[in-house]
Amino acid sequence: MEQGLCLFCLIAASQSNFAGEGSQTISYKDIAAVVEKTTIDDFQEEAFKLKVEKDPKWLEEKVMHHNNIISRLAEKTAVVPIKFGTIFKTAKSLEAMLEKNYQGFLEIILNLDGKEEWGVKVYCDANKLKEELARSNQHIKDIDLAIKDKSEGAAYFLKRKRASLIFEESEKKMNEDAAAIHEELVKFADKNCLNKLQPKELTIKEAETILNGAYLIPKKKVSEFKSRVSDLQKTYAASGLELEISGPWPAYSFASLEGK
Amino acid sequence: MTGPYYEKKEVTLVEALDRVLHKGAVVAGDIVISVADIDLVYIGLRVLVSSVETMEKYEVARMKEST
Repeated sequence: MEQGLCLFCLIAASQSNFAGEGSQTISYKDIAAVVEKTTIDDFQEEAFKLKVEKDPKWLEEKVMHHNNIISRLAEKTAVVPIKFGTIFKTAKSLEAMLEKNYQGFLEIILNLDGKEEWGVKVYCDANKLKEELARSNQHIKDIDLAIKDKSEGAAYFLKRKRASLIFEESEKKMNEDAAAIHEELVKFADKNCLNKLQPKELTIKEAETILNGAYLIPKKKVSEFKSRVSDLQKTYAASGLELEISGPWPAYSFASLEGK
Repeated sequence: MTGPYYEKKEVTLVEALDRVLHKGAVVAGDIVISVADIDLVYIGLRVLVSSVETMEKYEVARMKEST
């Protein structure tokens, strides 16, 4: 079986001693790549697909292992996480990659020092929001009053108008709230990034995800950031919003080289 | 999971999966695996289902203990 090197992350070469048991480091100048020997055969495209289909648990374990190695190191030093499933056939080809991207990665490592990634997701309970709009939106209240005085036939059209108005207003409110919350959180962040909203099937919540933000926060600002998230939760609870904070994460969302 | 506010220890697997599979620096390895969204839905659901089940069992066990 052909052996290769699975690449987990990059750290400053001076921090190589933190790479735990089982992993080894391959350095190029001031950067050390944290790697582990692996069987290449499992990662060839067809073999990989088959393996995952037959045994999804295998992939899950590999993925969690990848995260564990990176997370453990991130507690000690600045870490550039590498995307899962990046394999090099030889140390030489890994070194060539480091040489090629040296300056870019060195800058990222230096910039990540003393900072943590935090995730904030915002969920919206659309039903609750709609109830709130029915209470507070003057236009909708006017329609509700008009419906009372109308015959059933005339009321029908008003009801349809009401439904589409409520839909529009709730969409608008969700966008505004998400933008306002993001704007508040960005104030604490050295960098920020808006991640893709996950489909409903992937979340535990019944509610819709309206914000999936990642924020790179200097460690000394973390407690302030967290208490701001709690405050925002209180402010927006009446509009049916729920804020969910996660972290600290290794800087997965802030590891990419410029332009990639 | 208690309340909207949680930290590291209770973080859902889905959060980790999403980051590990879709984030991190992309470099030209000799082999680069790309796990598509559909796979994530599959794994994510399975993880969710199993973790929810475990939690429920745990709850039931605890309730039995306390009665």
